[in-house]
Amino acid sequence: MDHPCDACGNRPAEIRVTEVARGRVEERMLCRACAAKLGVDSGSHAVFSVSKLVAGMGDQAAPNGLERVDAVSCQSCGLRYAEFRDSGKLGCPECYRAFSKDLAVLIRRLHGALRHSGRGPGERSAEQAIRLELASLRNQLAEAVAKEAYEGAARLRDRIRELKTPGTDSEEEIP
Amino acid sequence: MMSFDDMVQEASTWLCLDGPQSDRVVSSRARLARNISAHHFAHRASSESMTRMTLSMEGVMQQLPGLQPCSFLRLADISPLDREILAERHMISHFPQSDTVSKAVAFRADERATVLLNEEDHLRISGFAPGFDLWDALRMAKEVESELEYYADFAYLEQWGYLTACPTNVGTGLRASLLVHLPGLVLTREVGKMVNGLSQIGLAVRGFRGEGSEVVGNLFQVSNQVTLGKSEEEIVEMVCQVTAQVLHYENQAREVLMRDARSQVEDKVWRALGLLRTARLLTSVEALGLASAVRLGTDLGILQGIAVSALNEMIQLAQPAHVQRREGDDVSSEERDARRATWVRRRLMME
Repeated sequence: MDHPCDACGNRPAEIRVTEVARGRVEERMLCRACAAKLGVDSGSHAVFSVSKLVAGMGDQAAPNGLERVDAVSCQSCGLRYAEFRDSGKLGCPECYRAFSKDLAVLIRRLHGALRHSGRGPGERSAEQAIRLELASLRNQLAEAVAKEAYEGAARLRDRIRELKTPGTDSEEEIP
Repeated sequence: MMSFDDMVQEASTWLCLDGPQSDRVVSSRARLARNISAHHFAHRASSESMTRMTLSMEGVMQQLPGLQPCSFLRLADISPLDREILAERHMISHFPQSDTVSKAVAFRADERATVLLNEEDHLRISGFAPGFDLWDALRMAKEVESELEYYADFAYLEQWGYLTACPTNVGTGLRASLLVHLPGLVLTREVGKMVNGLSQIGLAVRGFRGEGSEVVGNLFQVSNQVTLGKSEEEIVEMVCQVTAQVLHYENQAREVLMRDARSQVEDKVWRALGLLRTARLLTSVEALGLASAVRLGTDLGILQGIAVSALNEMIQLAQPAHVQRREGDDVSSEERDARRATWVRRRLMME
């Protein structure tokens, strides 16, 4: 509806453009006309323009030129790297293996890192478990105080004090 | 089961409840992007296989304790106006919805946990919290995500973490964002510097439904851009710390304003309140702009007795689709501005 274009400020924005340049990512909401000026395909609702980036990558990582990179395709879903370059979207989880070498360059520029260091399925770090339980206890405490259930509130407060480790939550005062 | 008629009467709970530093931070959101390993990503999978997945997910969503009581809506089953209402409530994106058959949204009645199906990724799990409480927002999202793990095998690689359709989200798949009110930095023209500074350290700042450099309601969304190479807690911690710094600059800006331009600020605040209380036609952009000035006045102690929640509510309830749903489809856009003005007057009279 009334969501004005970030470039012209007049027409309604219909396309989200995520631009990647010099390792920085910028997201803008554009109308079709302004998006077209940038060479963005207006058929898609979310466009990620990696062409500049991949062009730069061609110089360094693919001495044989872009054609070689573009010809690689994913065995599982059939997506060609060239299609990814146009749409910014991979076709399936297997694409990450199929294009791993070229994606590594791109991912390093996007995130400044090459390895996931967060949690995997079924894992929880001790720190996160504590932070999340603290959030839950704080909620229960607020509720108990609102209901004037002070005995329960005192118990919750004690539990919160127990869980707090020095340095993690020093900024806040418990009511 | 919720009805849209009821929904448009009230804002999402994470907007109307008080939270930490609610005066400056409107809300917190943590979003996790996940995909099911056995399927192609949503845009490349056949519409049939995505539709089948949506069907089976409906049963799953109705089981997850973290989503109860749960509403499940297929976008194909609801009108474009109702989709726009969901977008105004941050449950789906604002962009025109193509191929709505497999797209759906599941949400808890209080809207603090939502799951969006088959938009860019198979699953986008969001947790919301009022005020400055990203940890609580992450807790809401993680709760639903870990419950979902029993039913779904998420696409995951040791090296790259959770795999997403777009490599900008790969890794944790976490986007942690805060909606902050920064009138001081806007009025002192410091906001551009702040935006540039944050983008250099891997954070994105976006104006709320922005218009080039002009931002509606002086509301900004601060979020992480980097999703890989940092743990979920490091990401949340960074967004919190940087936002706390931004709020510190905002406070300084307000001090400068009150020192050097006190009467202008007071004039702006009182005029804004006067307009909200007396105007007969209000666009949503104007309403949010005036609400921002009133909010500033309340924060600075110029105005008393106006609840922040009443101003927060306007962020959703004064939006076009909400007004149209309340007033009926046949209402023209000028008539809508009149109804909006009436609604705002009544709402402020209750304060």
